[in-house]
Amino acid sequence: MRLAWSGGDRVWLTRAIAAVAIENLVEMARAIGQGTPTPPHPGAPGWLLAIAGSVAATIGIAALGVVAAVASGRRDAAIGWTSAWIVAGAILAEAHAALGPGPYRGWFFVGAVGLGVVLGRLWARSAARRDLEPAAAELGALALLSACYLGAATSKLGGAGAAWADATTLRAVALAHAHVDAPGLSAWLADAPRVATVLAGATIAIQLGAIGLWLGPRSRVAATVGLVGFHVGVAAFARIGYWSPVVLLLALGLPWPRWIAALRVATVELGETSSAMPRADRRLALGLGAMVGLAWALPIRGYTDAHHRSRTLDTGDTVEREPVVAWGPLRAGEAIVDGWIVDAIEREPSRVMVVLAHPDDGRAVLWISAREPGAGRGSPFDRPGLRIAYEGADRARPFATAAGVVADRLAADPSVAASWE
Amino acid sequence: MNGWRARAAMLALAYVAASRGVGNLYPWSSFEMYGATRLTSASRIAVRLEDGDGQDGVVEIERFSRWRCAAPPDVDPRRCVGQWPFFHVEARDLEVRAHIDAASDPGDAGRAAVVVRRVWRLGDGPARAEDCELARCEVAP
Repeated sequence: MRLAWSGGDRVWLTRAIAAVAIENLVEMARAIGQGTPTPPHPGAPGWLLAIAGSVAATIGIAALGVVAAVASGRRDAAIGWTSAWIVAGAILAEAHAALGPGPYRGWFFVGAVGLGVVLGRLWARSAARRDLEPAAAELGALALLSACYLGAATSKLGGAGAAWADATTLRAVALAHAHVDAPGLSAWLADAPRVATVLAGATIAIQLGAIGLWLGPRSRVAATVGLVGFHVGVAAFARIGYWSPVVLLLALGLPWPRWIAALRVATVELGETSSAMPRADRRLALGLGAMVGLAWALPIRGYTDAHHRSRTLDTGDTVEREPVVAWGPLRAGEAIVDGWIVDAIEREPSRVMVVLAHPDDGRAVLWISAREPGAGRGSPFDRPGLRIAYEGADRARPFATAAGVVADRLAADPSVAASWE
Repeated sequence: MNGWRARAAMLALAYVAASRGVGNLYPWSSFEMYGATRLTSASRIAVRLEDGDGQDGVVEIERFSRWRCAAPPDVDPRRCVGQWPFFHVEARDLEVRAHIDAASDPGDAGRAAVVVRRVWRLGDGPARAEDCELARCEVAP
């Protein structure tokens, strides 16, 4: 199988990945140090917030990660160095997310690529083919870089469905991010629904086309050009610049050794045919199966989803909302716990807004709606039959305890479930 | 599909499946940004100068580094009861509030201005904009 770096010295590819990792680690530490205006994650563990609140810990972890990334860029570096900078990146990325703004996906691409490198190299070792490690690492990196875009496309198709590629969604994203007074692409796009439809459709097609990164040399270049163009377009229209994946795409997707003679060396390549290595393949399949199984079995989704309240109902057409004095077990004005009170209750046809207020800590808003049996895990306040999305308006005291009490009382009251019927 | 492509496909699918399980936990991500729902509206906080500069009289908050407001602008989207609900990006809204909170006083150089949330309704035609007043301020570059 011909890869972009077939016949090339892959130490340069390894260094490019390490360089992106180093830039990301420094950027993570800087972002944590700057702080965020958003409220902290209500369920963030104390140790993660303690790291985010400590300059010494943040810089220390970033420094260890940078050292590991530098070491991972050496020829024949141990797999442990790549694993170490991934762990450092994970701690910093999650500490930053816990501070409030949620995960910054621009940092995840190099983490996925690093994971691909590790998996590829482990496969080669498992097959007792250490000579294939550099090529297998490149294939692993390509596979997981493509998976980032496949995930983005399937999230759109699994969430909004084909309607995502309509005349409004892409325009909404661009308008919410672009400068209102910039007479540029975004302003033009705002009044060009047909163009928006085409661009939204192209976005999904290009993201699905990421499988071209590992199908063959021509498809790899086509996918690279398409995905780089996608990132440039998003930056131009919506001021969302993800440049790390652009560097990774250029490094992994283009045949640099073919263009630059100095990069060429004699290498061992992946054979064109299916080299039967059943034992190593079985181990890889088992390892990947375990990864997927753990991802679904561990109760982590409730935590990671809590960064994002459901925006689904925030975005549609205006609906009637009626203030009410009481709903189920709750009454406006009543005390809940720790100084939090129910400040207001307002009903919409398919959900109820409960505003919690605290004399010192401001307000938090709970959006309560019916939850279908078997629905995916949502916020930490979800209860059987109840979807409870939240918005925290202030960063001071977490409102999680009060929200949990409200959730428990609602779940225990049969009139709440009946109110959706 | 040869063995290498099958292995690459297996790796990619496993990452996507694991990411759907955990959501977003570095290095796994479902990259679901703005994909969960169809959007039919958008909003952004900006400033309208009473003497009418800028495109449609509305310019970005960042154009001015000095601010004095009668009361800090409330960036809670539900403050705009006439327009709510609409799509908003909380981080962008909070950036605006942080910019105004951190600004120095314009002194005698201030120009009268109104902080507004511009809400666009989107359909098959051009975007339709409405403004919701958030605060009255004086601003200077």
